[in-house]
Amino acid sequence: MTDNRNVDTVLAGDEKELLMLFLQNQRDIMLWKVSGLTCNQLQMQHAPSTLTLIGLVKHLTRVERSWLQQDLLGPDVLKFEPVANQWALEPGETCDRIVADYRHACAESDRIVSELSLDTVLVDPHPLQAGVTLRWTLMHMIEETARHVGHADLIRESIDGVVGQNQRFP
Amino acid sequence: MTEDTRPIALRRSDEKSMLQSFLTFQRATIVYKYEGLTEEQLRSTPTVSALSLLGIVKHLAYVERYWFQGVFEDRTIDIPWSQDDPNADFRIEPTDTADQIFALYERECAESDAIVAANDLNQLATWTPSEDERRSLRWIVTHMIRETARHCGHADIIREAIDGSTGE
Repeated sequence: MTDNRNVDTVLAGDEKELLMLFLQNQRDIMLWKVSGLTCNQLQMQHAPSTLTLIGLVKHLTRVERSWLQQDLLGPDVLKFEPVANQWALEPGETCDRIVADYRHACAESDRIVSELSLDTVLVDPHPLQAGVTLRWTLMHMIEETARHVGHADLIRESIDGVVGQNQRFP
Repeated sequence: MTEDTRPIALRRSDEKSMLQSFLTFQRATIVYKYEGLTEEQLRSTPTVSALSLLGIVKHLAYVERYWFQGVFEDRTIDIPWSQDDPNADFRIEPTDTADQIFALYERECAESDAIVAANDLNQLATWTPSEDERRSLRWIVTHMIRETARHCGHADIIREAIDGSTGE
């Protein structure tokens, strides 16, 4: 997908392209919400919530790798290494690397999803979600990423006062 | 919080029913986040943000009206925001009550649902700022899912600050 195809330019696209663009839009907003901050700031909390911006990015990376990669194709085809703590930095990790890893995971998800039909049934989802299709999973990824963007909105505001819907309408 | 009776999104179905079920779930989640709170708690702004839980519902009610009745159907609609006062829909007026705002949200969502039921997802909006900005009903429904979900995220943080309640 080229850069000029996004949710503000593709207003009547087909189902799959639009779902992928809406998901990309939420990822882009999350990346914008964590930009321009130091690693210390990225680990700050807005009490009483214990969430942090870097924790949200790390969690969403895991969500991409489970839903749109391992669960979709099955662990025999693609198995990701689980991290010890998906909500916080671990010894030896840097914020830059966590953010780069999220971008990498998203690109990998897109590569896999672009090859498959929306009716593809996930090979190995959580038992509670047995039988879900890629269509369901993309809609879920949009709602889940958007909800975490909502968390990021308030946490970011508490760190440096920056608010805004997206980069175009800050 | 009270028992969770939200309708879960359909696992396998056609596109339209599934999109509708995701939107229904997000709306139910917003309402669920408000269970068991007093009028005063609903109006409170306990975080860094100027947002209150009640302000979010009021905003979402008018956003439903704007996209489905205003943009898609090009009806003449009454909305509180203006260029001079762009966030008026988030503001709780002294005359507003929680019951009124929840009833408004329910009515606007029902009206949106009737519009979705009566139209094809490929149908383009009647109103548009310019010809190349005409949105499909598919775009509008998906947008409402992401918008409502994002406000659920705000509600998560605000609710936790009010009484410590957390959860999906």
